[in-house]
Amino acid sequence: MPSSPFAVSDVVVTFSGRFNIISELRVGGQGVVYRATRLSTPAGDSANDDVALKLHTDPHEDIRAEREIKTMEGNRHPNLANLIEHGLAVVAGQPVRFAAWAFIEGVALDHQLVAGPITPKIACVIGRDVATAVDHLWTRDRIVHRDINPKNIMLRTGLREAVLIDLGAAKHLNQSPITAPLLTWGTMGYLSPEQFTAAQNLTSASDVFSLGLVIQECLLGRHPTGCDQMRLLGGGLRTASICPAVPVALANLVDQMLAVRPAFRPLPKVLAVEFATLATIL
Amino acid sequence: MLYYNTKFKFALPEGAPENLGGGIIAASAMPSGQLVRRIRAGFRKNPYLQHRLFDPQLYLAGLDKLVAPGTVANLATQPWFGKHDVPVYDSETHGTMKAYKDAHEQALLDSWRRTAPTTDDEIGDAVRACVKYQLDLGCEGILLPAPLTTTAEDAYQTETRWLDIGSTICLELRVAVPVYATVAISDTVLRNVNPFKNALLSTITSQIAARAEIAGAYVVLEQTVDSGYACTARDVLAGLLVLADDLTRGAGKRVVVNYVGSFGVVMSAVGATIWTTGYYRSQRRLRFADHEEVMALAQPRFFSFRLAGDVGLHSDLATAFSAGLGKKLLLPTTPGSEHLYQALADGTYPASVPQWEHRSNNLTAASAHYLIANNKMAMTLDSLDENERIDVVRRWLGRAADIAAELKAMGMHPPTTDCEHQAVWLAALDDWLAGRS
Repeated sequence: MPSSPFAVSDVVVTFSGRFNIISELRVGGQGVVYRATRLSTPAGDSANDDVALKLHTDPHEDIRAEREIKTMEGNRHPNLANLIEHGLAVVAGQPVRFAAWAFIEGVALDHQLVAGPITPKIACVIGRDVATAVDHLWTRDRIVHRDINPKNIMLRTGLREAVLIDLGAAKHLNQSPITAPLLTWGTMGYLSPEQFTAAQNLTSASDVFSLGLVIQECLLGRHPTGCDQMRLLGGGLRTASICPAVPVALANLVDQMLAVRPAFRPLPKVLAVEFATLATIL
Repeated sequence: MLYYNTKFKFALPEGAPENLGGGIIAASAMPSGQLVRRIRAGFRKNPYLQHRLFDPQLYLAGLDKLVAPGTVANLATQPWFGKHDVPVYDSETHGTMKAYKDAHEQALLDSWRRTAPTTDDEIGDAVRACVKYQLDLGCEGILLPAPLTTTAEDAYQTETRWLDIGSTICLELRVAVPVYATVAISDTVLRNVNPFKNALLSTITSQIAARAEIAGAYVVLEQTVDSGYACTARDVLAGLLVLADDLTRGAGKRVVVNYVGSFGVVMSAVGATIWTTGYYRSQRRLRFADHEEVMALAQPRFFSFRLAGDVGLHSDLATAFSAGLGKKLLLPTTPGSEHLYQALADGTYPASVPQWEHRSNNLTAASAHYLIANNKMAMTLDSLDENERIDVVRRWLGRAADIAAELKAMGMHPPTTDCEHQAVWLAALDDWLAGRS
C-alpha cells in the first residue's frame, strides 16, 4: 500500500481558506485523494461543496493528469466523476497539480465487495451505468478508460447508481500517445487481451472486456482468476462455469463481453440497454 | 452477391449475366468530369449500375507518375489526391477527352504528390470532396477514402484518423446511405503472421466494430508478391477470412471485398455481403505494377468453375480433355462454353468455336463465361445459411485442389493454367475454421 508523500498538516496549510481537508480517502501511484469541503471558489465567492480533492504527486505523469482534467472540464455526465475546479499549488515546497471532483456519497466497489458477492440486479445496475460512461467517453472524445476495475467504480448510497472515476490512465485516440510502445497501462487482472499485449490503438471494446471481469467479480465475490492475467489471454472464463446460479441471459451477456476478439464484444451503447433491461426484470 | 469491378468500359461483355448485383466503379477508370457525365447519361445500356458504389482509390496515392502516367492523370483529377487549378472536364468547354488530356495532362501529373493528404484540414477537405462526389453519383453507399496500410508500426492510427474525420463529415452532410470504411491492406502486413494473433488485424476490426455509425468495411487487398492472378499466401488469405468474420459475425457489420478474384466466393461463405470481380487481371487483383503503361495483348483462358481457376487455351485445355479431365474442367457448362465442350469432344476445336480460339484480345466469350460461372456460385451461396455456405465452399475447394494436383502432375503450371492456389485457399479456409471461436 503506497503512503502519501505529504503530511496531512502540510496539505491543510496549503489549502487553508479554500478547502477544508476532512480525511485521506485513497493513496495511489499517481497521487493522493482527500475528502474535503470547498469553502470558496477561485473567484473568491463562498462555497460549500463536498469534494474529492486529488493531488497529482507524480511529476512524470503530469501530462496524463493535465489531459484527464482537460477532458473532464465541462464534461458533465451522471455516470462520470464531475470536475469542479483544478489548479496548481505548492505543498511542503513541492509544486503539485490538484483537481477537485464532486464528492460521490457512497462506497467504492472494491470496498463493497469485501462484504461478498453482489446480487445480479445490482451487478446489472453497475454494468448499465459503467457501459453508459464508457460509451459517452468513446463516442464523444474517442477515449478509452483503460483502468476499469472495482477501485475506479463508485456506488452511490443505496446502490442504485454507479459512477466511473479516475481517467488517469485513459487513452485519447485523437491525441498523440503518451505511453511508450510495448508498454501498457491499467491494472493487472483487468486488462483485455489486446491491452495486455500492449496494442497501441485500443477501442471501447477493451473497456467492455474489463467491465465484463468486474461484473463476474461482483457475481462471484472475488476476481474470477485471482487477478491472474495470463489466464485471460484467450478471453474470459465462462460465467456459467464459475457462477452457475447466475441467470442465463446475464451470463451470456457477460460472456460476450469477455470474447477474446474485440470485434465480437457488444458495443457499450448496446450493453447499457441490455443491462438496463436485465436490471428491471431480475 | 457479385458486383462487377467496373473500369473504363461500363458495358458488360456480350453474353454476361444481366442479374449481377451491381458495380463498383474505380476512380482510376477515367477523369472525374467524364465519369459524372457518363453516370448522368443513365443506365439503360448498363442496368447493373443502378446499384453502384464508387471506389475513391486513395490507396493508390503512392503510384509513381513516371511509370503509371495514365492512371495518375485520371486519379489526379479527383480533389482527394491534392488540390490544383486544372478545370474539371466539360465537353462543351474542352471538346473531346483527348483535347482535354492534351491540354491538361501535364499539369495534372505535376500536381501529383505521391502521398495522401496528412494534416487534419487536408484530410477533411479530401474526404468532404470525396463524399460529395459519391452522393452526386447517386451511389448506394459511401466508401470512405483511406490510405494503403503497408506497415503495422503506427498501429492503424493514420487510417483511424481518416475514418473519424470521414464519419464526422458524413454526419455533417447528413448522409443517409450506408457508410463503409475502406480497409486497403498490403499483403505484406498479413504474411507470416498467425491471422488470429495478428495485432493489426485485431486493431482494424476493433476500430470499425466500435463505430456504430459505420455500416461496414470495403476491403481491398494489395498483392505485392504473387505474380499470378490469385493470391497464394495462406496467412494473407486466412487473415482476410478473419477480417470478414470479425466484422460480420462478430460486429454485425457488412463487408464488401474487391480484388481477390474468385476467392470472393470464400469470403462470401464466411460472411462478406458483396464481392467484386471481372475477367481481366486488373479486375481480379490490385497490384501497383499493373498500372504501368506496358503494351501487352491479353490471351483468352477458360475459367473452370470446378478448378476455381483458369486453364490455358493454347494447348492445356485440349491436353487435359484428351486425358479424360474434360468433364471435371468444363462442367457445368454455361451458354458460352457448351460449344467449347462439344468442339473438344468432337475434335473440332478451335476451328468450330472461333470465339474460344487462343488469339490476342479474343476475350468476349471467356469474359462472359467467367462472370456467369462466378455469378452462379454467388447466387447459390446467397440462398444458403452460413453453415451450408461453408460446407459447399469447402467441398468445392477440396475438389478444385484435387483437379489442380492432376493438372500439375501433367506438367501444367501458372501463368498458363492456374493450379497452385487451390490447395492454399483450402488450407486457409481450414485455418480459419480451426481458429474461429
